[in-house]
Amino acid sequence: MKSYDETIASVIAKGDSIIEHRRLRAARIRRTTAAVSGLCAAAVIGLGIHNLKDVDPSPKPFEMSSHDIEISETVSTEPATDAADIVSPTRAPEGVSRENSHNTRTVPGPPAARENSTAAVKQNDHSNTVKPYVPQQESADDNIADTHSPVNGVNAPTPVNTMPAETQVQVTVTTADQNAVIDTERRIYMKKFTSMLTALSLSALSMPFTSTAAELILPPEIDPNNTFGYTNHSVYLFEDEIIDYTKFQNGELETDVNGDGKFDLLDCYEVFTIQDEEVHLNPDVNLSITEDDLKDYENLLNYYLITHDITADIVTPEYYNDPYFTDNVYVDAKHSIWHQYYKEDEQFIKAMNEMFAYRICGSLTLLPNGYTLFEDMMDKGILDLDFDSDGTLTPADMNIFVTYMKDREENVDRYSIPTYLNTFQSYHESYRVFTKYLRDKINESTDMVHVFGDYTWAEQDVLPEDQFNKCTDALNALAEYDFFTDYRYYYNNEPLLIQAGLLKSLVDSNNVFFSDYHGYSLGGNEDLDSCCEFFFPDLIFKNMEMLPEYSEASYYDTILPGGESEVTANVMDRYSKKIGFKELIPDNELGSHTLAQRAYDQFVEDVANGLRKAPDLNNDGVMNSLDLLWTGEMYSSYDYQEYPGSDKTKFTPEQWENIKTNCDFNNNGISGDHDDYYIADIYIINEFLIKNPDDISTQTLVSIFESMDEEANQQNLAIMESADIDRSGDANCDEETGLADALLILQNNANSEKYPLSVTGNFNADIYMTGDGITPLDALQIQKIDANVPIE
Amino acid sequence: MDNGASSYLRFLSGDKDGLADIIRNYRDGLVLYINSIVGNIIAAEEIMEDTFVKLYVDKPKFKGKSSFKTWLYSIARFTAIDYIRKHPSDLYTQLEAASGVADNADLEKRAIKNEEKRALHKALQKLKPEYEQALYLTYFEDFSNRETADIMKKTEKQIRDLLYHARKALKTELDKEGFVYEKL
Repeated sequence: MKSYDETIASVIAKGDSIIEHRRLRAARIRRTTAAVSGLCAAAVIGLGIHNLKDVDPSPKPFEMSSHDIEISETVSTEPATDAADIVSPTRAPEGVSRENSHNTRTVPGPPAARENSTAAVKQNDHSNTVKPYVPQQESADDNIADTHSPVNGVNAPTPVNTMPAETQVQVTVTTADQNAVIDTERRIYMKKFTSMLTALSLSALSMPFTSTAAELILPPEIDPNNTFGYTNHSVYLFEDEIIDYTKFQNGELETDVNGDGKFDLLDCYEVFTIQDEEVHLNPDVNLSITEDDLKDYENLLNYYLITHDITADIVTPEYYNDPYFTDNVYVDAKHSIWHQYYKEDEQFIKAMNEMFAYRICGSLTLLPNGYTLFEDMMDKGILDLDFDSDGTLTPADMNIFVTYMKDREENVDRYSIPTYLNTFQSYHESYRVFTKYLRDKINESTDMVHVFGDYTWAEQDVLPEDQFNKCTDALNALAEYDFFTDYRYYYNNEPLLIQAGLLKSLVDSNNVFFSDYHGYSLGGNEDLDSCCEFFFPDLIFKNMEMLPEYSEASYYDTILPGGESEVTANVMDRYSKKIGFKELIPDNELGSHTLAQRAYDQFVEDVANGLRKAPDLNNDGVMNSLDLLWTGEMYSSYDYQEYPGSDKTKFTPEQWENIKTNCDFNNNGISGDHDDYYIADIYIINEFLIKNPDDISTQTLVSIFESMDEEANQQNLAIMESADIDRSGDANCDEETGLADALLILQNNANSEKYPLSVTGNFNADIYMTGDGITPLDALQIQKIDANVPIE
Repeated sequence: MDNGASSYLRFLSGDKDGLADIIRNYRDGLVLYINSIVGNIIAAEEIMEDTFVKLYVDKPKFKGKSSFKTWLYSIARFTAIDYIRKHPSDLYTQLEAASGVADNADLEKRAIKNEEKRALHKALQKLKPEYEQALYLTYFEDFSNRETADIMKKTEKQIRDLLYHARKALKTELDKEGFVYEKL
């Protein structure tokens, strides 16, 4: 064993490594969300600019007048190449026959199966019950980038197209009155410049995101930056899984394992049988996938499950007893695994089928769309979660179920795994016996509680009898499908875990032990199954809005006095925090009638009515453009508190207190979270920056951006240089054109470091032969204007 | 004695030596306890390290609702369960290799000074793991029933029942070996 010092050094080294990993991850998340924000901001500002055309028809000093000026604006954009790469679904369409070593195989089997195999798109009897996953197909010439951004599943309007390098702006201004132009041009320019600079500066942040996301080619549903995996589900997908899914998605790994022209459960079933050691270690068997690739195929089943809606029948062992499965699983035309090994052993086949079904059940407890099984069960009347019989699923139903489960936990004892299981050396044998043991236990009684031992329920005085019975029915229904087997096993955690060696393959199949693990890993309640933690809320909030009071125990106290209000509220609180509300948005599309949009609209309305304060992130007493400087810090600081040790907020304690108490802009009960960031960012740009381009805070912000991002400045300048706008000659930006400007231009030509021109000044100064840069001839031109000398 | 709470606070305020003190104080006991969960001394050592890494990285809050030691053992238990779920086959392989026997004996000797208790510990390892854990926590780590319940995430009543059955099983085991342990 290591010495104490070695142990200490090892702990610190491991810890430092993890901290660094988290830091990088947090940075990646920050960049990604900043990019989205930038894109959104660009869109909002673009809209703002567009709206300026219709501001007020009456001419006012320093206001744009449609009578005086005609603006025709053409924005031509080209999608960033790498951005298109990110979201382009490169996955081969399902049903396309593969052209590899497997295509020489024939697929004999029942006539129905052969018939089906000839038509890739035709479903067989079994797969008819499974809705095939239909990827979002986009033709090659579609501009994908303008419809979907993979970041958090948010659809960003005209996203990466605002990348400076690819943007060309053509603006022509025709003036009716030369004097008015001098005033109004500055005005227009200021508006445009301010908006554009801000937009471009923010958009520039999207570049790191682009390069990061390009590492993986993923479908929109599977986003490495979105740990929820699916947009409106709460269960995690782990990084390794995502990488595997990506290989299937982009065709790197063939999903049509059996070569029948389609990807269905039969392919997963074949992989499952091949994973049996007796098969894949047998040199006489020609495997449809190589042993080297076998590991990569571990997630094929999960990939199938996340890309298809789940029906109740596919999680029952009986479904796989059908000859369609047992007869059609081949390693090649001549060597059926089942014929070769197990055809005569019906009992074994039955056991394997059970294991396959259980593996599906186990996987579903972890996968984002596991709740679709619940949905199907409810549709078929197998499962009824409407415990209060009010005709709809609400948080109150979940409170009842949580109360039931907690009460059960308090009143049952664990039972022992029979010691004779230890005597089995073959895992197949022990699995069969073990499974039978559990099923017998279940069948002994209609009440699940007896499975756990000799204890009986304590007197039930919280739930009304009908609700109690409905809960028991639901639990039994779920248990039949092996949901809650993990819950059952939880009570036997230690015995089972210790015997993990003997029952290792049971554990390997991942269909047990994840319940409290999952809860614990997510900071959840270890005693509640993933059903309570995830799927139940998923089902509830599929059709209703999440409200802050659902995370309050007092809400449930009034509904069910004596119930487990705290537990339910905690579960809801974790759920709402985890999904951050935006995850409930049907398509995560900002701008449509989504929760985020509604939250934003509500905030704008409340501020307008004086009910809430405008975002004052720097806590200086007012909202102005400078608050935009703190939105990024607000976002990051929320991450810092979620990942202690990753970094520290730059807010002062007073400012941080303000963020933590006054910045719950979406009213979700969490002040300063990422959703609040989005709202603040857009609100400040929308309601202040665009409307107050001359405000000192806006001017300051512009100058800060100027000094912060030289590269962006150059790009902005290049864009403006190409624009066909008459230049004012106001090199020193004092809103007057005169000899001082000519002098500055000459000085700048002589020594640009000592006499720098601002981006605006540089733009204005190129008055002679616009586009050829700043030359002494520009100064001469200004002098001519100043001296009223006619200009050619 | 605050059982390490002050060291932990010291660590939270930035002094890594605080964590080093905790590791020195609790390492061996933790390994033995974790071993009672996973039945594998090599894995137990790794899990012990992971437990301290959690403290180092996540800096979880110690709210003082239980003793620091109880809290630490709870974290170790979760970490062990996590480990088993993530590495079931590794555990099995290591178990088969049984290469940690010498380590185990060495550690046992260092952590359990009393020879009689060492014999008891050996007998414990033949019991059902759940019994082993409960007895280990109460006999060797001197946790109260309440604290043992906290660590094992059971009710106090369940621990009492568990200990009752565990003692009976242990007594049978010791009888076989010819030992008499007066506290049973």
